[in-house]
Amino acid sequence: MSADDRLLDVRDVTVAYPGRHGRDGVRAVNGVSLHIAPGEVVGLVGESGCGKTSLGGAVMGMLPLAGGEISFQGERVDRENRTWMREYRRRVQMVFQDPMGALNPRLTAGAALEETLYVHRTQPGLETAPGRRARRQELMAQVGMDDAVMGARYPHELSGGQRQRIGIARALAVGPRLLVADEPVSALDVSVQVQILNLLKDISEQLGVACLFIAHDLAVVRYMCRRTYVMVGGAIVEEGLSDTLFAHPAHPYTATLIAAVPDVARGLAARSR
Amino acid sequence: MTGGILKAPASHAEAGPRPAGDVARLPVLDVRELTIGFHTEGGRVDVVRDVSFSIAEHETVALVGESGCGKSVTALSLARLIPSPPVSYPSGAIRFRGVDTLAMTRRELRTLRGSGIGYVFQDPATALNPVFRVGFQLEELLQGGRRQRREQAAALLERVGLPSPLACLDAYPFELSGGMQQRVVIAMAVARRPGLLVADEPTTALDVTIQAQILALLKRLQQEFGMAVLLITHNLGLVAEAAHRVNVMYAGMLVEGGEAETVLTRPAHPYTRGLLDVVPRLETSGGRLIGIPGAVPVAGRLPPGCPFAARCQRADAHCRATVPGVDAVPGGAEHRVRCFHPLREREAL
Repeated sequence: MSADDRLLDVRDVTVAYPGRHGRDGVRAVNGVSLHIAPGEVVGLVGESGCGKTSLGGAVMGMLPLAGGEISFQGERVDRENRTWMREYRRRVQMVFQDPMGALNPRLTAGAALEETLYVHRTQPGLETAPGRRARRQELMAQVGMDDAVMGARYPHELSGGQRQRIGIARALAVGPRLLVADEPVSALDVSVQVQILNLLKDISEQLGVACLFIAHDLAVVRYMCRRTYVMVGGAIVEEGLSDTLFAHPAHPYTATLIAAVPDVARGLAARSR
Repeated sequence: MTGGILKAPASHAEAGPRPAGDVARLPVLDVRELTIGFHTEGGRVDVVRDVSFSIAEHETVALVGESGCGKSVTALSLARLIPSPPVSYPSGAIRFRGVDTLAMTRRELRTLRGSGIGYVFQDPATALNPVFRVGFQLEELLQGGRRQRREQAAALLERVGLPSPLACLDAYPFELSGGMQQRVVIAMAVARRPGLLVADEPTTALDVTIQAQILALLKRLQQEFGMAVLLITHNLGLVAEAAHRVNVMYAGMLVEGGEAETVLTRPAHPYTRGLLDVVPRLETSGGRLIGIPGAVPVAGRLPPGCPFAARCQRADAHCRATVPGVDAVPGGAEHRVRCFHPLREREAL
C-alpha cells in the first residue's frame, strides 16, 4: 500500500504532558507511526498507561503534538486551522468507553442525536428540522433501535448496550470516514459486548467507515481487527496482521500479554495436565 | 479475640490440592435457599432468590454472572456487610462452620468479620484508606505490641510478594501501583487467617499481566492457609484457570452449578452456553460470534417465569409462566441446572 492510499497516516508522533511544580513532564506517546486504509479496522492494544488513549486523542486532534505529524487523506491535521478542523471533526468521530458519561443525562436519545445534527445543520439534508428528524430515524435504524420507542428515552432508561448504540449512532450522524473507538465495549456486560462488536463490524463494512479500535482485551481486538498494533510505554513494539501476530508474536511483550489472558480452553487444558 | 465457634479446626495444617470426593466433611460455608431482598419505596425487591451453594476447605468455588445479577450482594451478605434495613433475608440460611450468620449477635458478627471471612474487592484504590499509611491500616488488624505488629505486618507483605515490605509499610496507597495495592488488600484479607476468602472481581481493575500474578498469589495463599475461596467474576477464563466448582448466576438465581470442567465443557443451561459462545477467544480467528439478544432484566422488573426466557431460543410458554426448579443433570456428578429444556451434550443452541 502506498502512502497515498492511506486514510490516516500517523508519522513519528510524540505526545507530551508538561510537568507541574518543577516536576518532569511525561512523554505518553513517543515517536509512534501507524496508518489506516479507507474502511480498515485497525486494533491498538496495550495495558493501562501505555499511551493508547493519548494517541487516540492526538488522532482526534484533541491533543497538541510534541513532535511528528498526522495526516488525513493526504492533508496535515492542523489544530490552528479552525475551518479545516471543523471539517476534520465531521470526518473523524469518536466512540467512548462509558456511554453513560458520554451522553447528556438530560437529553433523550433522540434529542442527543438531533443536537449533533443541528451542529452540522449547514450540511445538505440537515438544514430543516424535518430533514434532521428523518436522518435521526435513519441513524436509529442503522444501530438497530426503534426510534419511536427508544428515541424518547433518557440515558438512564436505557441498558448499557442500548446507550452504546446511541453513542455509535451519534458518531455516525455526520458521515465520518474514521471512527476512533476507545474501549467501546469494556464497560458492557459480556453477553452484550458481542452485539456491539458485531454492530461496529457491520457498520464498518456497510458504510466503508475505517476504525481505530483501541482496547486492552486482546481477544476482542483479534475478533475485530484485520491488523493490530501493540503498544507499551508510549511506543509501538509490534504490528502486523492479527492472525499472524496472535499466533506467532515476534516481540516478547506481545507474547507475555497473550499468555496472561485468562482463557477457557487454555485453563481447561492446564488442569488436565 | 477469636470466638470459639469460629476457631479454625486444627486439621488444616497440611496444604495441597483439594481433598477429592470428601463430601462428608463439614463445608466452611453453606448457603441454603437464600433470598435477599432490598426494601425500596416500591416494596421489597428480591435481588437474590433461592440460592444454594457450599464451599469446603482448600476449595475454590466461582460465582459467575453479569453486572446486576446479585453476585456481589450475595458476597457481601455472607458477613452481613450490607446494613439491614434496607436489606432483609426473608428466607434461607448462611452457615459459616455450621453457625447461621443470619442469627448471629452483633458481637459474633464482629468476630466473623474480623477473622472468619476475609474480603478482597475489585478496586484496591478504593478498598484502602487514602489518608493513612499502608502500615497503619495493616497493623490495625493485628494483635500484640507495636513492634510485634509491625514485624507481623512486614512478614505479611513479604508473603504476598511485595518486594520491599518495610518501604511499603511507610507508603501511602497512592504511592503504590494497582497491582501492589491489591497485594496489600490481599495481605489485609488474610491477616487473621480467615476460613473463607471472598474475592469479588479481584483482578478486573488490573492489567492482564498483573491479573495473572494476583491470581497466582491467591492460589498460593489458598494452598498455604487451606482457605475456602469464593471467587466472584464475570470472566469464564478465570473460572477455567482457578475454580474447582462454579455456580452461574442470572438475574438473582443460580441457573447452573457443578464441577468447573463439566460446566465449561458440557454446559446444560442455555445461558451458560451463550456466555461461553459470545466471548471472543484468542485462538480463533475469523467467523462471526452470535450474541445473546436482549439485555439482562432489571431486578424488581423480572418476568414471572424463568428470568432468561426472554433471551432464550428454547423458551416456550411454560418457561415464561413458571420458574424452573433445580434438577440434576444426568451424567454429571453434582451438576445441577435450573431449566425446563436443558442442553444435552454437544447439542447446538
